[in-house]
Amino acid sequence: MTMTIPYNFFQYLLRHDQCTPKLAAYARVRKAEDIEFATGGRDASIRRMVASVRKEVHMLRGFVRLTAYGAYASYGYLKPRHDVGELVAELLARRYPHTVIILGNAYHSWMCLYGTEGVVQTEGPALASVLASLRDMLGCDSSPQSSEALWEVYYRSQYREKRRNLPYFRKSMTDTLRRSAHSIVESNTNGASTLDAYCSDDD
Amino acid sequence: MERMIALARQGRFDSEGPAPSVRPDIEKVYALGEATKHDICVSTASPRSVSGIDRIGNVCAGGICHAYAHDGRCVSMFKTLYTNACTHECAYCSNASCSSGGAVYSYTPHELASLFMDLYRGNYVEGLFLSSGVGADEYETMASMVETAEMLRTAYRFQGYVHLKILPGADRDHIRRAMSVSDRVSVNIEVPSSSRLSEICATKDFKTDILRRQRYIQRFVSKEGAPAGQTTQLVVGGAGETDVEIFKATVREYHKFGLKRVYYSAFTPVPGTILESQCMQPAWREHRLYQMDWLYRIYHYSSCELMSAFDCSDHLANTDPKRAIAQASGLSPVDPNIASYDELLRVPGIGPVSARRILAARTRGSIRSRKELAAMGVVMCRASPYLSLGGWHDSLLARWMA
Repeated sequence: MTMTIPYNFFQYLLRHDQCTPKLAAYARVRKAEDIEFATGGRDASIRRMVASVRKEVHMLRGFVRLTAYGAYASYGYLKPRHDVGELVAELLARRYPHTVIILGNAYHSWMCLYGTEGVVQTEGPALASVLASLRDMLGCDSSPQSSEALWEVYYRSQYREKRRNLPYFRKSMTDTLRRSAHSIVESNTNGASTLDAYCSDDD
Repeated sequence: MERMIALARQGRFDSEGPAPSVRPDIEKVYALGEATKHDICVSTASPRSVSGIDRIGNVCAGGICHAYAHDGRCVSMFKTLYTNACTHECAYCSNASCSSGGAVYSYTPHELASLFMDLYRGNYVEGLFLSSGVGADEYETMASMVETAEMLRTAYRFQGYVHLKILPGADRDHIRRAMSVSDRVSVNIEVPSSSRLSEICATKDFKTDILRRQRYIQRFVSKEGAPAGQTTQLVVGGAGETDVEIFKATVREYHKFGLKRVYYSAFTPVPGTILESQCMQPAWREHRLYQMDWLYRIYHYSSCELMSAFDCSDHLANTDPKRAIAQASGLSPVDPNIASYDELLRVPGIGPVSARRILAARTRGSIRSRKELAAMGVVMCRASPYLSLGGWHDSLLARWMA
C-alpha cells in the first residue's frame, strides 16, 4: 500500500519548528503505519507536521535560485521556516555534482558537495561571511554570475493577462515561501507585464 | 569549505559545452517563450533513474515546480519554440502564415542549449520543453530540435528532463532520434476529430500528420523509447467542439495510443489571428475536463459512468463532475465500515489516499464518528450526504442540497 508518510518520518518531525522534546519522545516509538492511518490525536498532528516539513523541502528545492561563483561553487538565499536547509542543500548538490552548493541567510548557512567522496556537508555562519571567505579562496578571477535578468524575461513571457489569478498564485507560491527563497521576480505582481514595459523600466 | 573546493576541483568534469557565441537576445527569448504560453505541460515527472557524478541534472518521480506565474500556472520548464516561422494556417495561432504576426525569430541548437543550461544551473527551470513552428519545412526544423536535445545530452552532459514536441508530418527517423534523447514526446492533436480540424486548419491532415505520428511514437515507446511516454493537448472550444467530443477523443487517445496524459487549453483568442473575434472560453471548462480526465485515469470510472456528467447539450456544467455523477446515479449512502475501495472512491470528498486510510483504519477497529473520517482526510462537507455511520445518514433533501 502506498504511504504518504515515509518510514524515516521521525527525521522530518525533528526539523519542524514546533517539535517539542515531549512530542519527539512520543514519536520515536511510533511506526510510520501508526502515523499514516491515525484517526486523530497526536498521531494525526504528527502526520500534519511531517507533511509540512516535507512540503517545505519540496517547494524550496524549486524556488531557491543559485548564482554561480566561479566554476566550483554556487550560492543562493534560503531562510526556511523549519530546519530544512541541510536537506535542500543536499538535493541541489546531487543535482549539480562537483559544485559546492552554499545556501544561507544573514544568520546561518549550509554547504554541500556531491562528488567522488559522496555527499560532504557542513554548516556555517552568515552567507555574506561565507561568500567573503570564498572570494579570498578563489581569488579575483571569479565573480558571481546570475541569470536573473534572463529568467525575468522568460517568466514574464509565460504570463497570460486574461487569466490573471493572484489568489491562486499566492496559494501556490505563498508569501512565506517567497520570503524564504527571496523570490524577487515572482513577487513583483504589479510590475512590468510586457517586454516593452520591461525594457523601459530598465531605462 | 577549503576541503570542499579542493574536492570539487579534483572531480570536475567538462560540462560547460561549447562556449556561447553571443549574448542571448532577450527579445527573441521573450517572443519564442510567449508563443508557447498556451502550450500546457506542467509535469516534469520521469521514472528514469539518474546516477553517477559525471553528469549535470537529474529527474524526479514527483516533478518539481520552480515558480508560479501570476495567472496561477506552474512554471517548471524552459518552454520555448525553436522558431516561430510556420507554413501551416491554424486559425487560432499567432505564428500561422495567415496571421498578421510580428517578427520571425529562430534559435540555433548551440544558442538554445547554452541558454537553457544557464537557466538550469541557476535552478530556475526543471527541464526543457521544446516546440516549434514548422519553419521552412518540418524535416529541417525537426532535425534542428533533435540536434539541440542531443547536444544537451552529449556536450553538456545534461541528464535532466527534456520534452520534445513532434511536429505534424515529422520524419519517422527523427521521431526515433527524438525519443532516444527525451523523457517525453508529444504531438498536439488540438481538436477531437478530422472534421473539426478542417474547420480551423486547411494545411494539416488529421490522419496522416497527427494520428500516424502518434502511432509511430506508440510503437517506439513499446520497444524502448521515452520513459515518460507521450502526451497530447486539445484546444477547448476553438472549433466549437462540445465537451462530449473532447472527452471521447481523450478516451480514444488513452486507449489507442497509450498516452500518459492529455492536456486541455481553454481557447483564448489571439490578436491578429482569424479567430481573434471569437469568444474566450472560460477557465472552468478546462478545469472540469481535467476533473473528468482524473476520474477516468485515477479513479477508474468507466466512460459510460462518466457520460452522466454531461448535460443534454453535451457540455459539462460548472460543478464538480464527481458529485454530479453521484447525484445522477442516485448513489445511496455507503457505510465506510463495510464499503469496498471502489465504493469509497465513488463518494464525493473521498480520494484514493483517504479511501486507503479508511480501509487501514477498519483493520484496527470500526469507524464511529465523522470527526475520525475528517482526520483521515475525507472532505466531510462533500462526503457527508453519501455516508452512513451506525445506520445514521443525512436526509435525501440534504443530499440534493449538498
